[in-house]
Amino acid sequence: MPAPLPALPPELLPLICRHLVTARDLCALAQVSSPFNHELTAAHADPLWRRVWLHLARLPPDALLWARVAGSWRQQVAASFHLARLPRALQDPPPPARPAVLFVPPRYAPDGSVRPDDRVRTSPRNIDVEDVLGRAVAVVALGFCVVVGFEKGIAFLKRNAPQKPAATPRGKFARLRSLERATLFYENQPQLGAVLMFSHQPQGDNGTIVAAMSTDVLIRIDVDQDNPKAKRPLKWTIIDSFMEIAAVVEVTTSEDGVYALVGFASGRVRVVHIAQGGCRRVLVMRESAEMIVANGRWLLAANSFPPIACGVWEIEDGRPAHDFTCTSIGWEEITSIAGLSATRTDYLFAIWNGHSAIRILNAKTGDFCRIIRVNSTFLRCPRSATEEAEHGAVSPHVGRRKMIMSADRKTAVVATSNRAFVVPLSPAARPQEMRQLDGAKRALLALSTDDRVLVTAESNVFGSLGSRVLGRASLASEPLLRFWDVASGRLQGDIVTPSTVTSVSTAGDIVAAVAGAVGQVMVAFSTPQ
Amino acid sequence: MADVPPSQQSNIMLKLKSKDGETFEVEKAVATQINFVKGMLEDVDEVDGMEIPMGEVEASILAKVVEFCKFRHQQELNQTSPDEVDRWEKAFVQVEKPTLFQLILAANFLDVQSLLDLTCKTVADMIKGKTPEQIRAEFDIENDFTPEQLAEVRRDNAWCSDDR
Repeated sequence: MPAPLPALPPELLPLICRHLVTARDLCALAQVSSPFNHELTAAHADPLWRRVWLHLARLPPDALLWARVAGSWRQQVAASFHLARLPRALQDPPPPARPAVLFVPPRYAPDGSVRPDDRVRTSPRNIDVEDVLGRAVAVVALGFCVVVGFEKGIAFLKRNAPQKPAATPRGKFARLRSLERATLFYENQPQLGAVLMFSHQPQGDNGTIVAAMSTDVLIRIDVDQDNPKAKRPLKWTIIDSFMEIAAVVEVTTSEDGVYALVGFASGRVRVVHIAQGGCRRVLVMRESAEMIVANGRWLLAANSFPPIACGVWEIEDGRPAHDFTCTSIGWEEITSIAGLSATRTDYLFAIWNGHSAIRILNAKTGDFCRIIRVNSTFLRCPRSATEEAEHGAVSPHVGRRKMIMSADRKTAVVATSNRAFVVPLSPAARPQEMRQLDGAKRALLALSTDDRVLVTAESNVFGSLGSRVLGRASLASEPLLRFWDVASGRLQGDIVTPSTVTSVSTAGDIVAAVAGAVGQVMVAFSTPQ
Repeated sequence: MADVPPSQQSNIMLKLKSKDGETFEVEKAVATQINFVKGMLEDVDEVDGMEIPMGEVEASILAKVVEFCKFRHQQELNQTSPDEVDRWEKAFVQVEKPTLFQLILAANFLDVQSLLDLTCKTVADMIKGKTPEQIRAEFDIENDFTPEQLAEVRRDNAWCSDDR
């Protein structure tokens, strides 16, 4: 008998392959003969591989995040198989084999538009979210969902509740579909404009998100966790509006979740009551208020570059406590500030200079009570994290995610331009307990909820402003999301991202990141069965 | 095509002519399950008894196509149960492989989407779970790779060796 299948017109092979939804079957078919191989690796076969991806591609149980890789859907499926072999986990104890749900991010054409095949469609309205909301800007992961800020609105990605597997194949496929697709809600808010920045103070799985919008308003976003079927799972309330000529450079929330703090390039800091709304007071510092940290009593604000300035206030009455400049005693050696953070003691704050030392400032006395040297084991000193923005762009990265604390505040993770460090803060800690993470370049940092895994996301030297001005402005040819074991400092795995990351957030077993230059959000979370 | 009430369509007959000259007389409602026929009738006012050449489709295959279309038409009229449809379709595709491939070609040419889906799925089911060697044996396909090409193709597809 002559070979019957190759005698079929080549265009029919995809019709047959439409009914093959496992990578193994397609790969086997590709190895049968050269016509088959050509047919299954050609560009026009890409929809077949996307079908495989949509039906069967799974986040491996121990993978943190799945990102779209450049190239074809076949490469995407292949990469997911490679990713499956990366041993790592966010949760403690490591989760058993579990399927995962994921949000497939869209690919963008060179002109910035979303490729038609990749548009996210929501039923029943069947609207392309990217067309409605524009590019992703910022992301916050909560324990059960992810909130994504877009240029024209806010989206809410909720994990679907797992369903009991049914016995029939038809039921099985229904289950798979349900697991694969998280539920996406969104709201287009032309009156609010674009999301500039998010701030979130974790409070269990829930918490309030504060967002600064391009229309000079500050909104509080409430996520309705208790009523997942609510028609409107996101609610937003305007809690402040401002008439500032200077740009918003920082939005953060006080540690007790009472106040939202908005920093402006002019040095003004607005203290806004989150629950009741309204600006309680406006503080003024000498330089741009690029970094703000506050607990129940103290508020610190600082800028990044020389001339350095740092102000300390009592938050309840707005009374200034200290005002530091580079000429202040003890501040002569501080040429840059890359991060501010609260510590275990409510009046002690950590100040990271971006390259060599964490100083512990006593907000009561205004003295540095301790200096923790961060020494690289390489001869070449780490470059300062603040160099990233020395080209003049106002970078929201500096001070945001350049220093993070473990939940018990005993360990700080700090980023320089070319590596990151895990630094024990205890006075009794020995220098050899510090971990040096080589390869974590220009990193934005995020720790897993259990502090065992560190996510470093390669960010853009120009910040999000550079992304907007220059498009794919990254100097990194292959920006990486890396996953590190905090205890050992060992790299557990990495993933190439479509562009440098401008926002990263973790919560529970969720990792979310925004690849800023392409405005693409990547979200992954696992669902226990 | 002139508008004809559905009740009168059963009275209109068409002659479908195969490549080898055999004609099949079928009701218009059945014949229009074939999009190729439907398209040809669009600008014709008088269609009763019209003879339509069915291109390269041979009589034995056209007979199967007509059988399929009659069943679909009956299914629409009688609301056949899904189980019954499944049983009938399984029996319908219990044919030799050359016939099955001819049916795929005919369904594609005549634009009968449901028949195309059914036949393609049947072939796909034969492929599922098989190794490249088993697929070659199943369909008598020649391995035209050189040893170097084969090694490269295997390397290229090694990632799915432990399929999930």
